[in-house]
Amino acid sequence: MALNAFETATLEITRRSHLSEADARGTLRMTLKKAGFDPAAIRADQLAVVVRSLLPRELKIRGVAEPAEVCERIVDALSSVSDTGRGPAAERFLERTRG
Amino acid sequence: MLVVFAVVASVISGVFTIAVGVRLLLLWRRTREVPELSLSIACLSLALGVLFGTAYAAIGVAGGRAGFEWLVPLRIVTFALAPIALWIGVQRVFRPEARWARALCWLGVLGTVAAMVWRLDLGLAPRRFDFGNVASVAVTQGVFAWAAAESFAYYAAMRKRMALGLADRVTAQQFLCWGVSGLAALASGVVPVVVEMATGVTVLAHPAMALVSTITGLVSTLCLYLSFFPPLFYQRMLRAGDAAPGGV
Repeated sequence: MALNAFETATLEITRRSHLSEADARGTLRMTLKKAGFDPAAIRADQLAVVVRSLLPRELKIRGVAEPAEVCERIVDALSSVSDTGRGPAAERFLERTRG
Repeated sequence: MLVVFAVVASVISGVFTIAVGVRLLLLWRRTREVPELSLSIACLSLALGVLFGTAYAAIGVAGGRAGFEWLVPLRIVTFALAPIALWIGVQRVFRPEARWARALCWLGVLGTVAAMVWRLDLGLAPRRFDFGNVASVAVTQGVFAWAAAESFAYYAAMRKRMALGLADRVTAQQFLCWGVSGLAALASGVVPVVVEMATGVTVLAHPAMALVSTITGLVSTLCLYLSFFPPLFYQRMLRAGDAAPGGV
């Protein structure tokens, strides 16, 4: 089964750093919370922006070497994720009413 | 004077609520999505409830209410239909997958039906501060609190996303307006009932309470309209604020 954006990013963090899967997952969740996203509903293109903007700092705090480089690899991996998801129902509803 | 103002505010509120309901119904004809239909039913029945209530209050001020008692159960039923549809709509919009939300939705729907039967039995008798009345208010008004809480949470998330360029101000404002609308609707429904429980005077027999209820209802309706159907000039204004230096 194809991995979604969140799972893909978690896998890349564990591959390219010393963080365990649980730590990588927790770090990513916290970063997404700071960005105002739900891990289950974020699209790959949105996650790529969050990874570039906020994740390097979080990885640095956790002692990951060359966090910017790790983040670029995550973004590369996300480009192959084909979840051009429709986004959360609430946003879709307000888009529909707006026309 | 107070009554005239309350009637005017009710009419404006009713017209805007009907406008939202009809536009959602037209949208539903195209999309066939549950939120559009349920929220449309909620708005239309709420508008009818307000109009029946206002008519009954106005008739009372004008003279006798003899022959118009049928407006009371009609108002109770239409006012109950609104939260039932709203429980379904809010669940489908904000938490379509969550099992706890589905359970809460069903609890709300069944509770509202029970509250309606309870209220029909009571008729115009003033509500007292007891378990039945408090539970009835909780199930019929709780949905507005839920909608407001979800909307404000979304607004907060949207503000964070805007800082990263991942959300636009219009969508954020739509959530903010829905939240304010929910809070105003909650005030409109709860404040008069609390006063009624404390004083023993029903909202229909108390012009000042009717005024509070209609003004908060009007705020709720206008905010709901702005949330669902923000006019183009308003959208442009918000986007211009985004583009301006220092605009978030």
